Amino acid sequence: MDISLDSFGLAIKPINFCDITTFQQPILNHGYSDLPNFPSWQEFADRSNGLKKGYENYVAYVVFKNDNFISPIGVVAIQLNTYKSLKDKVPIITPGYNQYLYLSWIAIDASQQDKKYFEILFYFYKSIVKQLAMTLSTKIAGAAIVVRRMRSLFFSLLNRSEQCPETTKRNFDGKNKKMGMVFMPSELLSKPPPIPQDFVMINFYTIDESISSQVKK
Amino acid sequence: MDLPEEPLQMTRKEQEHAMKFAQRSVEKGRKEFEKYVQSLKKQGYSDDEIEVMLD
Repeated sequence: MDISLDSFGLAIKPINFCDITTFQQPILNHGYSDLPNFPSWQEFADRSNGLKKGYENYVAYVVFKNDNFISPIGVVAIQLNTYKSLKDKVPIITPGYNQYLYLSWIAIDASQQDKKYFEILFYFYKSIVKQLAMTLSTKIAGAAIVVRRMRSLFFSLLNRSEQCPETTKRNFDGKNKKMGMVFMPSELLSKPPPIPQDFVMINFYTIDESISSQVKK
Repeated sequence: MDLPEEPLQMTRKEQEHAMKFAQRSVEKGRKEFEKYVQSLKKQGYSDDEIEVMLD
C-alpha cells in the first residue's frame, strides 16, 4: 500500500498501514504555536480506523523521506464528504458537485518547509481526487479550510503571475489550465471563527466524459 | 487547517451568497477549460495526451 514518489525521494503510506509506535515523535513538528488542535499520530490513526464520530471515510497518509518509516516528515489527511454534510463547514462549495474530498490537514515538518514538498503533497491530493472520481464514476471537487498564513501558499499553486489577493472583504477566485480555486474569507461571516481563515473550493479539471458530462451548466 | 471542528454560525443569506459565487466561478472555469481542450484537439492532441498535460 505504499505510494512511492521516488522521483521526489518521498514515500506516502496510509496511517493504518504504519506502526505508529515506532515513530520518533507522537505528533508532527509542524512548527506553529497557534494550532492547538493539530492531531497526534494516534488521533489520525483513530480517525482513519473509523473510531471517531464525524470522521467517517477519513484517511491520513503519512509522508516519509527516503523510505525511513520511523521519522515522518508530513501528513495529508482527507475525508470523502457529500455536499450536504460539508456545506455547514465549508460554505464556499456548490451543489453542482455531490461529492467532495475534504483536505482535512496537509502539513510538513518544520525542518523540511524550505523545500518544495508542499507542492508535491498537494499534487498527491489532486491525484487522489482524480483517481477517486474515476473509480466512483462521479465528479468530485476539493475543499479545504486554510489558515490565513497559508492563503498565499495555496494561491501560488495556481502559478499565476499576479499576487495573491489580501482582501478579507470579498470572495475571490483564481484559475489556471488545470484547476480553479474559490476563496471565501471567514471575515465575511457575521460571526466569524476566532482564527482568521479562508474557505476554499478546488476544482480539478478533467476531460473524462463520465465526469465532465455531469457538470451542471 | 481542520478549523473549527464545530459547525460555523452563518445565516442562510451568507451561505447562499457564497454558494452562488462558487457556482459562477466554477461555471466560468469550466467554460474556459473546454475552450482550452478544444484548441488542443484542433492542434491534434488526443484525449489521453491532454489528460497527461493536466497532471
